[in-house]
Amino acid sequence: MIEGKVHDVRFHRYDGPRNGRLAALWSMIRWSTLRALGAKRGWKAKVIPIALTLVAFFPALIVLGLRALFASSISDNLATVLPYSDYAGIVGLVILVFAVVVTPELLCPDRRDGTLALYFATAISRTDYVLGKVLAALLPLLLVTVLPPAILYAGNVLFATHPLGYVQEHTHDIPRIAAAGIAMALYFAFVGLAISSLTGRRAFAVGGYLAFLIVPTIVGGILSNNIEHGENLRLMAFAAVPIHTAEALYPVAPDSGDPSNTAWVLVWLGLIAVSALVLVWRFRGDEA
Amino acid sequence: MIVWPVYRLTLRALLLQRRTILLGLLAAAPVLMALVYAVAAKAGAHHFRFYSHLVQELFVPTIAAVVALVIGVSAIGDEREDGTIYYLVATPQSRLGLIATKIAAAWTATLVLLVPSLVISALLALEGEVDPSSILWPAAGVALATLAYCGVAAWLSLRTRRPIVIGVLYVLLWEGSIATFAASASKLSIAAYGRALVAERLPEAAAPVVGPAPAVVILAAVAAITCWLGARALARVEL
Repeated sequence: MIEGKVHDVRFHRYDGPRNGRLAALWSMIRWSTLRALGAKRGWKAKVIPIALTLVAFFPALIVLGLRALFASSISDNLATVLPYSDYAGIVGLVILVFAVVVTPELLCPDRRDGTLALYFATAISRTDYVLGKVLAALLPLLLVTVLPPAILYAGNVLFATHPLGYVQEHTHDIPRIAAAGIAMALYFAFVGLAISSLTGRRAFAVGGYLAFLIVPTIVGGILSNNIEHGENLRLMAFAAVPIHTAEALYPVAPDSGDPSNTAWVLVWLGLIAVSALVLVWRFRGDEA
Repeated sequence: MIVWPVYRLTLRALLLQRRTILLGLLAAAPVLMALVYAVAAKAGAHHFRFYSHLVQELFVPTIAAVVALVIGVSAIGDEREDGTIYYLVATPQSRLGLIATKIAAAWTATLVLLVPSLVISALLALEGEVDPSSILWPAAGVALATLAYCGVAAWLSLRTRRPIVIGVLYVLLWEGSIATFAASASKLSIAAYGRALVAERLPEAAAPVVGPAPAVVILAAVAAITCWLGARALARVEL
């Protein structure tokens, strides 16, 4: 005799806990961040973000490793061989590639797979969505902009002959490290998301983001050396804008002939503002 | 070997897209740059030095690389994403012929965007000093480098779901960073061989890594090997 069983598979009202808008937003931020870093995906999706994150830590780890192993046999003062102000410049290319890989992942799949309408059918508004994605871009970026120099600082404190004295002497470096990292992360997050919002295909967002950062940098560099009064064209170095902005937070004078720190900060602000406007424009209407 | 109906359809699909306009704008960047130079060059500026920097630092390693990469990936990647590649492989054409056709179409589309930009840039930047060799050597460098990039892009689009990301990592991290200061690393750089052909006439920006004949052989070999690997992948990978 065959026994049958009838399952109740009708639609039901959701009667679980309702955590509100902030919980929905946090859930989106959390999963967007993790997905951009390759969570819940194959190992191939994880390799590039993880490898780039590790590379961003290399300079700090190498210096601290040398201090741990060979401090007595190396004559140079290893504590000052890698100034905090130079860290952004040294790993700038790695941060750029990390941003180019990670930020399109946050927006393009939503547009391409048609999940935007599903998001907007929940407690998340369009403004929440954009803010959430900006935060989701910032979190992984802070991993490569703030954490490596912070590890270097912590290591320098540990290796210092007088740790407390080192902290007293370098107190100002703590907010500088944080501010420089946040400035870089903000720039790459806003610009990357703005470019990614223009297409549903991740491949073209990556190519467009790369072209936006690299091409003006090379154009400005060549033209500034070859045309009359071309010095300010160096400000077209969009790939270097966040690095110069980060360096402007330290008491280091720019190289002679380079634009002033104020000029770099203004370009940084301007590009972030334009990117924010692009994001507002792309997600304001029904079409988004 | 070339399957002409597939070639025509692919070329039309590659050229009649919104992204082609954006790539055209990217390809026009050197023209704009040469125009600014033509209008506001410093007194006594060395035109060939400027043009050499333009081609060796901007055109070959960045503009040509990105345009060829995006178009090369699109030639096969779009068919994979849309599911039309099944119809293509169901035809009685050899895998090698199909991949060679796709690479040829991508290469043609790339050259349609890049060659006019190169010629106009030369005319603007060199003013009255322009001669055929100052256009032909850079054009040869761009043509062969983009052929190799298209081959690599087509192969990558069959081997991975993230061909542009991997291509960008190669162009930016390897060619743009490591290969610029490590002499032996430049031997594994497509752009370096393209620049070697450019440097035959315009050595002002950088000396060539090899002579023109080895550069031609290596770039052609890269295109041929990636074409063969692509055909192999087309027969083996899950589409």
